[in-house]
Amino acid sequence: MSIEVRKLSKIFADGHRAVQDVSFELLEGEMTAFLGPSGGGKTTMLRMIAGLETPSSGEIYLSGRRVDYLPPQERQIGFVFQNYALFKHMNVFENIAFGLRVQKRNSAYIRERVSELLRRVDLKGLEQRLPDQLSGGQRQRVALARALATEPRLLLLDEPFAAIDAQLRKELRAWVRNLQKEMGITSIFVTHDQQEALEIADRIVVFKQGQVEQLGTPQEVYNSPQTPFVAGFVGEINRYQTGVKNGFTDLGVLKFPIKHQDGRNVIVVIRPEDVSLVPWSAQEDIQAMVLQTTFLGEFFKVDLELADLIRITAHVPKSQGIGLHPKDRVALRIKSFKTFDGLSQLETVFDPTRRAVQEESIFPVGEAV
Amino acid sequence: MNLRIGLSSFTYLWFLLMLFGPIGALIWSAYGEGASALWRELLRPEAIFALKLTLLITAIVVVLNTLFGILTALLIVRHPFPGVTILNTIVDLPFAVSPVIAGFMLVLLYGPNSLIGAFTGQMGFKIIFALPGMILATLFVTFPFMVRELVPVLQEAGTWQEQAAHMLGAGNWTTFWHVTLPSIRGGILYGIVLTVARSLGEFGAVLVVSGNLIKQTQSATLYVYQAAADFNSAGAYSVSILLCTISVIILVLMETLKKYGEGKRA
Amino acid sequence: MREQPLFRRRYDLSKMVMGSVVIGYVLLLILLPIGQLVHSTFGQGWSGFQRALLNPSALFSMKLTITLALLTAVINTVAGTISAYVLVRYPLPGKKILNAMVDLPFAIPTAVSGLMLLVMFGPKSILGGALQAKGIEVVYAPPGIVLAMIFVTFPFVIRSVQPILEDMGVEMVEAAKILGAGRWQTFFRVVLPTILPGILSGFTLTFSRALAEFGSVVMVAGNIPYKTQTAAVFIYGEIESGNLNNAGTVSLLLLILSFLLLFYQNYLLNRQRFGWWQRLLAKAGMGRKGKNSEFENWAI
Repeated sequence: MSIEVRKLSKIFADGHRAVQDVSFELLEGEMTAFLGPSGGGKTTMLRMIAGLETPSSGEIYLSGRRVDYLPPQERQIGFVFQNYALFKHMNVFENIAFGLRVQKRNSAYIRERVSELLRRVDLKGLEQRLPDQLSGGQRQRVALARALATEPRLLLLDEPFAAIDAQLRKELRAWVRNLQKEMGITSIFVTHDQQEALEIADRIVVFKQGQVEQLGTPQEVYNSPQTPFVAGFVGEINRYQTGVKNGFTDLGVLKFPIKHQDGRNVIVVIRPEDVSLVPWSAQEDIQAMVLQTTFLGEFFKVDLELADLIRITAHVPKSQGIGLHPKDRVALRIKSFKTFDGLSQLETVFDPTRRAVQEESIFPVGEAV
Repeated sequence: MNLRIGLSSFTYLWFLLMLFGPIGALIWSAYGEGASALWRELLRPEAIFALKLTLLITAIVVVLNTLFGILTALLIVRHPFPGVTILNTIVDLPFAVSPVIAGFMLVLLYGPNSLIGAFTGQMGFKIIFALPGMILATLFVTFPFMVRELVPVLQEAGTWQEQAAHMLGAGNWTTFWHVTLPSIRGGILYGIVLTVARSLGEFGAVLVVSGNLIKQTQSATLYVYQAAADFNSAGAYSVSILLCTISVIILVLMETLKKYGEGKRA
Repeated sequence: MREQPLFRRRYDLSKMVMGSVVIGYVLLLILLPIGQLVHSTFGQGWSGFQRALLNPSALFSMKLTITLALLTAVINTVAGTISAYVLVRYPLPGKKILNAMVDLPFAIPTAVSGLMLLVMFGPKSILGGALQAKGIEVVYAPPGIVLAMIFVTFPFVIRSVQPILEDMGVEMVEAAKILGAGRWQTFFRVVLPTILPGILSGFTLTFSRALAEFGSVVMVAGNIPYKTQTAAVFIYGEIESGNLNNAGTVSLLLLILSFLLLFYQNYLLNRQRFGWWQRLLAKAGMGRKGKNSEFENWAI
């Protein structure tokens, strides 16, 4: 089921503008993530598509049919609530069967359908349990089975993994992703976890303060963020606010050629993994001192101070990071950076460092002075 | 440790004097009358009539106040409108009003000399000094119980389950019968038990509106009052002991429901 | 013009029907009777009200009721707080039974409670006889009224204080002790401030219930003017003898006093909004609105 949203707004009774003039289109069969900080309007957006919230203005189309004035029960949408909202007084079987009973299906069909779903979500044998007797992960799977029972054309999930502990969350993510692919059901899920969005979504809609900041595939959003906010929210960044001087950024040693006019304010964004460290030498353009190194498992996070007291963070491979200590002197190379016009608009994506870092020239231990 | 012994002894003594003492005294005195006398008194037509009347009133009141109590609680929690705090306060008023005053107010409004009373009187339908008045009085004093029981239960439950039901295609009625109602049934049961307890025991309000006519408007508590005033101690004891037995059963029910409610919460 | 959302309208209709039914019921059952009382009392202007106010037996009954209800509230607050503390903190034999029995006065009809006290302290009983021999009157005298009031309000303070003490746990007391506080310091600076709202709530509930009590009082103390005639009993007597003006005036005064107490209970002691019977079931704390209130009010 394709989804189209046109100029949708939601102003709550207390005057809070949760969603402002949002338009976008999502494709059939895809898994979309609504990503953004809390209060960004993503849950309200999801609830308006579901019919749980009435839009203040704008239109919603599902497969070309306008639905924004329909009550939720007439939209054929499956919804998984953040707290699962299982019927506490019904056992697992009855929870999953509820939608089918509403449709007045015969009991043989219901039995068959529920047991098929139970197999699918791996909960065989727990039919008689009450929600209170299930673990968090099991509850989530019951909620999912319940939402899928009536074969909805669209599945909405509101922070589906938020209430589950870290280890299980990873497994469930992959599992939900597989299920969705298998069934080919168009899905939207809300999350504030960028890792989750990058991992399982076909497409990401980034929300900020009730507006869409960017819509694109995970790669597009990560590699070509259209605003500093997106760059910062999806992945980590070093961010500098500066001016333009003679066609270069006015950032002391971080002097990059850019196409902005002189005197403009620009935001320079550098991802830590685009900063590489090389042994200190007098010829290098950018020299730095190590302030602190932090071991993060797969890599080291290194905080550095440049001349003019500018600070920058780099992610470096384990083998390199292990030999670094505070007060060590090193040199930097910037593999890529992005500049944004003072407010938000994209102007330049520039790759200045033609001098590719030689992978062989791994920093020898102790060489830094 | 001395403080502990002192406080504990005080508590035992306090319970003994103020709770067990009076109950024991009633049982002891009733025992003194002899079982056959008590049984004979209990089977008197006036006593049987009074007990039946009380049961009838209780049954009607429980049905009406359960119905309107659920509606009121739903309105307060789920459909708040401007001025809902006023409604919320009004619900508590019967707790503050002395039962005698409650009865008096009903006599003033629905009595034979009032506008409404005179009108229904002409139609041949007496409200005050008749069964409808006694039902009204009992409705008045028990109205808050169901509402006060359900408001927090509804608030705590939230509307998630209802939203889920709607997403699964259920309309408003299906949702109400199959989701909302079952999810608050513990609260409803508790509210019913409280309403029954209060209805069985109501005295002041019923005394004022009923006129206390033997075998017409004499409920069980009025019978006890009358029997005591007439120095028919065996009669008073027998009905009292019966009412007390019911009270204990109600208390056991309350405790069970309380445990059930807490168990579910845990 | 934008198309009106159908869903909205349908749900507004069900809300309106529900609202009208509830408001109609409340009007007929509660508001109109109260309005009628005010109307009848002031039907002939202020003079009737003033005359009734100056009636000495009416005044006496009001004073007696307030004095005895206050006395009851003080006694039950002290005894109830101690009992609650003992029930929560000390492992006593028979504690479960004691705890279950606390609610019994609530379940027993007040007329029966009155009869019990009459039997216990009456002149024919051992206790009553002994007291009478010493010249102490209990039944058909003010002490009987206080006993009746104490009995019917027995659960209130205990049930107001108990859940707070339970929620408080022992950690706070232990923390105070580790910080060097003695037993009395711990009680007055840690325990008492924590349970004070519960104590105040219980006190108010006890006081207002005692003010209103009729059944047990009339059984134990009868209806002796200038001696045992409490306000409720006075009102009943005046209704029976047809002095509706006097009955209305005293009713109105008592009503205003009760409403003030209710107001205090509900709004100033906000945390205990719904009284003790509430916390019997819903201890988990109410008004947990959380994420729900983020969205507009939601229909059933």
